[in-house]
Amino acid sequence: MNPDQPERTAQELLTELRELLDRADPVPAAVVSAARDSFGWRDLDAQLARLVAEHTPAGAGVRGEPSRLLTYQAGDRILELEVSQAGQRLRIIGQLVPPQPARVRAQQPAGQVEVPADRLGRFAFPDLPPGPTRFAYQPLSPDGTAPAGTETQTEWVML
Amino acid sequence: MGSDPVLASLVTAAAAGDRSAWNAIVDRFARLVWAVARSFQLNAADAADVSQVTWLRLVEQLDRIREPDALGAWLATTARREALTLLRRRREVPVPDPDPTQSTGESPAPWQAMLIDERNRELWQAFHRLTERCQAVLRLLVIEPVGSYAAAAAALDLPVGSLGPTRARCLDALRQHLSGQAREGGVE
Repeated sequence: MNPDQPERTAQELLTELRELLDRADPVPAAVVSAARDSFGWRDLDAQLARLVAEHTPAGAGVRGEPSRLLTYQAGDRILELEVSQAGQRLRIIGQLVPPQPARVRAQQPAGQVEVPADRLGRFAFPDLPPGPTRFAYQPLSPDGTAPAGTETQTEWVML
Repeated sequence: MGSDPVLASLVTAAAAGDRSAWNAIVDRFARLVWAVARSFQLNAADAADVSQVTWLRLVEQLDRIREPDALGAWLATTARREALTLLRRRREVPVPDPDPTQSTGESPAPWQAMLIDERNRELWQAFHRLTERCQAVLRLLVIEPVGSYAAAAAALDLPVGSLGPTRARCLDALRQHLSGQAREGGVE
């Protein structure tokens, strides 16, 4: 630096730093378009289930042991999820309360996977990639053939 | 900060399903959300996930936004919480970093080409000698046009009133590093 250069004021420093950071670490175009595309996941009809409890059980991180327990609630409906790490992938075991058959979808920005919940309300996603995820479920009649009640969606969560 | 009628109408329009209003909100705050994720030294892939889940949360909450003026702070708080969740999980279940030089997203090569200006390079080096905390503070405070103290305070989990003094302290440290470099370089 030229010693004759006058010291920058706070505002000058901040302005230079901003220009530097804008060039050095711009928001990637893919991040902006993903943010714009998020709007496509708007769903006004489903009931929103909020995250009411989250636990990290003892033994988390040990191979095969669950690393996270998530509980969602919408009215008197509860959805419990047990997340385990399998290498770079995730295994999810879920339980609907009250128990009932349902169609359960794991939704991620890249797509969605649907699995059935049995008449005891149990379901599993054996192999999901980590990342932003929400779960949606449509309860079915006791024989599992017809929709019964409104669809419920969890809040988005980072799995 | 006074209230912002443009932002309020964008939020109302987006909540009513107007996609162009949503895009305008994204364009306005994408930099803030990204900077919050980056201020936790997340790599580019993790920062992208934090950004995405933050925007998905906003889509989900759009018709519950009561104070559009607090939107920046809401986004900053949400991104901060998601970044912390991700960091906590990384500690519990470490994922091998495919490229250690990318851990803070600052691979040297592109910088070198970019920082042709000597003055810029000195500032950049001085910035990286700051504590992570000071880097985060300055990163968030330089964001325009939403670099409001409220959003930065939310992102940093600091009371708004302490931001001014913290900013002054970090700028002092930055100046000291700059003059240190000048002294080191001045003996030639």
